[in-house]
Amino acid sequence: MSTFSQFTNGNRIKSIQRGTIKLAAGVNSATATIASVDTTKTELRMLGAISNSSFSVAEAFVRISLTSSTRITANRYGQDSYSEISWELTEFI
Amino acid sequence: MYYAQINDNNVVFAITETSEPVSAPDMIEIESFDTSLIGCTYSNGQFIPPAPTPEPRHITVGAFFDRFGAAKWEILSSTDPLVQALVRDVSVRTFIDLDRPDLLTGLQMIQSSGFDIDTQAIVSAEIQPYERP
Repeated sequence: MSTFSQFTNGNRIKSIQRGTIKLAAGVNSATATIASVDTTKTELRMLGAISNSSFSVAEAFVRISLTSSTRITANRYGQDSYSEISWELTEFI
Repeated sequence: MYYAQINDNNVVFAITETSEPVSAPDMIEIESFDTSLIGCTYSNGQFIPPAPTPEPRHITVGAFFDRFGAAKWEILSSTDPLVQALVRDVSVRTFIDLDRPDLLTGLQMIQSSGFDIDTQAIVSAEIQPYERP
């Protein structure tokens, strides 16, 4: 049977943060501020996304990145419709 | 700690639950992870919801042709090259956007080819549920 320790590679969790970022129509990049983390010990996960774009993957497909110790950036290619993405990060000790 | 983050226009674009307090002028502390605040404008300590956006005025191609009324079959079978071009152009669309700026011009071209259609009524008439794509 798997243990929690196996899932976390033996590392203990220091902090968990989560959020939602909206890229409004006309916007192809947005940056959310987070409490400072050690980027070398942090895993960022995208939980899902919604969009009102009927046709364009350029607008519906969004990428998120941990761009610094205090910033998560969401960006996409198109910007005619809105997209909203949810994320969660885990920082290990 | 929960925060609503605002952009340069004071509109909320992110909701974040942090592990520690964050101090930034664009981060407004809130009581819970309330994603309904996204899109609200932050003003004088209040989150003001955005005005509802009007529903797109889209109808099916078939419903658009039906709006030609008694002239529909004459227009669809017209041998006038201009009318044929307009009908072909409309026929390949997924839907017709009644607010599209060049739609009225196209209808006026059909009218000027001798067909008795009410261009304003075609564009402005209230959309019925069965007309929607």
